[in-house]
Amino acid sequence: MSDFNPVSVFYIAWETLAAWFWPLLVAGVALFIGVMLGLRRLRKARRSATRPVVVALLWGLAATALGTLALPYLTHAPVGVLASLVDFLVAFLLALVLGAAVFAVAFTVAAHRYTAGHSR
Amino acid sequence: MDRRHFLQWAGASGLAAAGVSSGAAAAAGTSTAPARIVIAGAGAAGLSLASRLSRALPKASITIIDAKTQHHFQPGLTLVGAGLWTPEYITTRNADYLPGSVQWVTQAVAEFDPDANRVTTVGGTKVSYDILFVATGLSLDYQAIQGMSTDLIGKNGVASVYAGPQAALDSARVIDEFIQNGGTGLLGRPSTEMKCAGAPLKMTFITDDKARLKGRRQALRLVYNAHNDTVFSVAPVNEKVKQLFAERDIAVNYGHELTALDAGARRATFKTPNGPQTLDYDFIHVIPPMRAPDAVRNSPLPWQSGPFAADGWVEADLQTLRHPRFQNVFSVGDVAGVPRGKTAASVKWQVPVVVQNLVDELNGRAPSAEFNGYTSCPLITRYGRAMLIEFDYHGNLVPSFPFIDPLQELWVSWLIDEKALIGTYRAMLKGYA
Repeated sequence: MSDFNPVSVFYIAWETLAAWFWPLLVAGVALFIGVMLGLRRLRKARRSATRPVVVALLWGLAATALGTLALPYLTHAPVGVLASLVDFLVAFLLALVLGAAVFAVAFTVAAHRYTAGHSR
Repeated sequence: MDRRHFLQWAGASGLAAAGVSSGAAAAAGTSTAPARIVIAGAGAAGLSLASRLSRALPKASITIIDAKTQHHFQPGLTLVGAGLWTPEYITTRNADYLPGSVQWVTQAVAEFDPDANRVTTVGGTKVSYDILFVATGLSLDYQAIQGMSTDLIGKNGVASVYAGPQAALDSARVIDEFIQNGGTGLLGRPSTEMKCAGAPLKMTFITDDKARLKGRRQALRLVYNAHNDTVFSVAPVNEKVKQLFAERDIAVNYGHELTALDAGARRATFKTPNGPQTLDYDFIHVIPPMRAPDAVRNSPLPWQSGPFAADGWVEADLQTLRHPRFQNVFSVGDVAGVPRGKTAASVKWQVPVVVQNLVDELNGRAPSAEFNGYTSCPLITRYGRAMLIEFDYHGNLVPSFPFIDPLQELWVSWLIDEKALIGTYRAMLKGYA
């Protein structure tokens, strides 16, 4: 792994994701901004973030679990091909990306709903 | 150019460049020497060289010579043959990877004249150089198999993924027909050096597993014809593959080299230690002997003796890939006369070595980089699983990822093969991986 450096990892990711690279990067930034805006909204409304976070975590974990099991299908592999611990671990870590995205969306929506009455 | 003259030339270039070259630039792996560089071949090695050299030697005049305009991600041919990828997915344009500062002569090299530091193209163009990189790739010698031609691929049960993306697609269809109709399938490899020596095994496992997934395995008899007494040159991998073959009811004929094919009668003849043996088949996956291209073989560049002489592989120092008789000539990729190095993974490690060493010398330093013979074979063993096998000149397993057991069939190894390699390869062509 000694040949991997930030520049090579960036180009490998760029070439691997091809046309998806920039849309995914923009989507990632948008989701991050959504979470930040949700947090600011909660703080302005003097509401605890616990409930939206718990709701978002549940959605995120469910997405991660589903993603872990579905990931092999996206690699032209039969579903159920995961057998070893390292397979499950890598699939889980990759599915965490999906889980984080779902978490961000869920948190943004939950924070908006939770503070809806207070922002007027 | 011998070593003394090369060093004199490099020293002069270094001195000439010293006026504008800063120590920082040298430390960063660049040189402003105004060298005339020729790269023969625009395959994986040639394009990767062009990308790195254009950044490392901004004042150099770099010319790449190749008639080929399309670029194929050859490691993907087995996945096209597996019916998973399309030819379009692995086909791009060479122009997409060439830096703008590199001059491209779109003709094949006809002649190398290392005594005169000159190459001649098929169109008669003569290109002089200070430094030559031979990266022509290799020739697939289908005609060495009596009765075989690439026109047969896709017909009469003949498959061969090596001949290109369309041939790989045709091979996928032939495999499907074989699985549907049943019978005897013959697979194997040539006795020459070959690119991606794991591919014959991959195609065997793919055929076996596809038949299992379709519930048709019992209708097939699969026979792997090994050219010597092993199925893979690295001992632990050989043992593992033999174990998997035994578990999957894949028979092995040792010491069998395909020499002739009667496609109409579906009969294949093999050279064996006991004389010629003819086998009937319903499906055959042909991998031809591989040799250096004629322009290389007919030049003074090949080894003059030893195991790499007969097929014309370019003589090269194993660690630096420099030609021992022509010090300003380097060979990279398939054409280099070194053991085991005929994979894109080897190119990924060879190119930075030769570029770094050239920059070192142009900056008046001793060459600092060495190639250890690294090569890699994500050996597909079934749909969705592979073994990520990496090894060096000595056959030592050298895994890049400490958490991946190279001898275990893993989905994560398949994931790397199916999703990550093509991006890494294209980043390599652009000189960033």
